Amino acid sequence: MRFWLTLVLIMFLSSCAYVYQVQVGNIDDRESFESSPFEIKVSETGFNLEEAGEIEAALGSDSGKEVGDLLGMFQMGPRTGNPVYNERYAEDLLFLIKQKCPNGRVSGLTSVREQRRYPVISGEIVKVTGHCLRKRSS
Amino acid sequence: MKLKWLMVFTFMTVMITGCTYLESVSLTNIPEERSKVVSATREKGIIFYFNFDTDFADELSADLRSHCEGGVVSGILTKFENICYVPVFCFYSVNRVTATGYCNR
Repeated sequence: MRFWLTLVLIMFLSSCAYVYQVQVGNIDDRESFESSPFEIKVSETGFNLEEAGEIEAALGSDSGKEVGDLLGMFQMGPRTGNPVYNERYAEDLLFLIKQKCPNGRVSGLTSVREQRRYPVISGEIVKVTGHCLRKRSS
Repeated sequence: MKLKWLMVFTFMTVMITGCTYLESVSLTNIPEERSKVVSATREKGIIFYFNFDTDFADELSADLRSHCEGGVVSGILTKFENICYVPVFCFYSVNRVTATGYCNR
């Protein structure tokens, strides 16, 4: 009993990380600038209907799978990760970068689109790292 | 005997060959001066999909910067690929990200 409980807990609490996209922007390393690093992360909860349907089917009901199949028909086209409730969760990135580097130039901007996958739900994440450059005072 | 070797050959082929998937590509503005090319690669091996962090790509920008100290790197082509070394189950795979750009000092 304890073995199964531990196994179920491990299954539900551990997450696997997936990378979908990596992008590196222009890098400025001239000595006339002083650079300070920054990191920004935005995320939203994703929901895997297919997996939820499979779990429900395994528990003896087919309705979840039917709903999942039906909704799947309306969610076509290229995508990364699971569907989210708020499709604008990454739109604040520009504002957040501006907040981190209000008066300087941004260099070496690296953006990573990644996912933390749990059973049924997932964390849909966009991580941005970079350097804020400010003119050195002579 | 021939059948045995055929099976060994088939097994080795399946185990050694890899399938490569291109996950993403991006390109930044390309400079006029393109004489010095700099490149950096970061990768991570994953056994049977068990991967708990994505930190391997974090230092890519710093690697590229270290190849062009005091200069500007632009025209950066970033390629993210996934290589599956045992294609049947993707038992061992490698996430590899490569960035190549032009250094101007």
